[in-house]
Amino acid sequence: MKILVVDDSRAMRMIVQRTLRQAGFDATIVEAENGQEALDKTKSEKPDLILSDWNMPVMSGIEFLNALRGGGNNTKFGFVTSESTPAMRAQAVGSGAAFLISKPFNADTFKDTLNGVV
Amino acid sequence: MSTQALDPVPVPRLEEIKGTFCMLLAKDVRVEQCKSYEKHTDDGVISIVRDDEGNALAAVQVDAKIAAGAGAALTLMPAGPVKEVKTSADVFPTHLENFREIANVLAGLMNSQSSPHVTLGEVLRIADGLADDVRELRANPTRRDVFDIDIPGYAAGRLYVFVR
Repeated sequence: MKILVVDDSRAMRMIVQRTLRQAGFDATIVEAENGQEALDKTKSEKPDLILSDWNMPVMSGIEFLNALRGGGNNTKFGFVTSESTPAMRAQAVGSGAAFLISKPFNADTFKDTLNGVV
Repeated sequence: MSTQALDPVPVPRLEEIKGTFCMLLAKDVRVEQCKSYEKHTDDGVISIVRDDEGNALAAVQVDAKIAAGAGAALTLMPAGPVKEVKTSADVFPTHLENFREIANVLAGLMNSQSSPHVTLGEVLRIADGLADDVRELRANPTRRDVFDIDIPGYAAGRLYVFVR
């Protein structure tokens, strides 16, 4: 399995990877710093799952998701974000996200959420 | 959105603060609420939480060694330099940048359906000086909570939450 982790914070990308390992997901990890870079890497790397932050420079997570779906790409997609209002959740699901994990999270959160998706 | 008719931003609960530190640092960080009144220290690292209009509605201040310790532990940097931190001026830029991740998650916890939408603004060494609105918030908050934090192997100290 290949997972694309998208976050403008290097530290947070590392934490997401660490939590994936703790949750038992033995995956190849690809990283991107913003939505635009992630869009390019989705095309070149063809990940099985995308975990993306919401607020990022250049292209936000929701813009990335909309561009992805607008281009006909249906890769499984979830948000990992520090902010998760009901409106954001509704927008995420409406745009085609499978889930939204809010920080703080732990390995159990990842296990419970991702096992239903991948 | 007007902030007049809304509730104050919520203070993160003890278990939310603990969960944030434990998640980000992958350590069993001890967090306890201070029962007694403890005046905040003059120095430290402070993160400002602002509404969509830029008003400082809350702030989270930590002792300099907590900012340095958390910043170091976040990316598995050695604890040695953290022990030398005496004031916020001693906090390395890398530690400060890493600490911003923790501050960002804490700021996210200060949103609710009934309070103004807030996001993390600046994360500052108090030694570098504070804007008037932040000084006022620290001096006259409507609510102030204090927590003891112990990051095993790195640092122990205080975390203060100020809400306007």
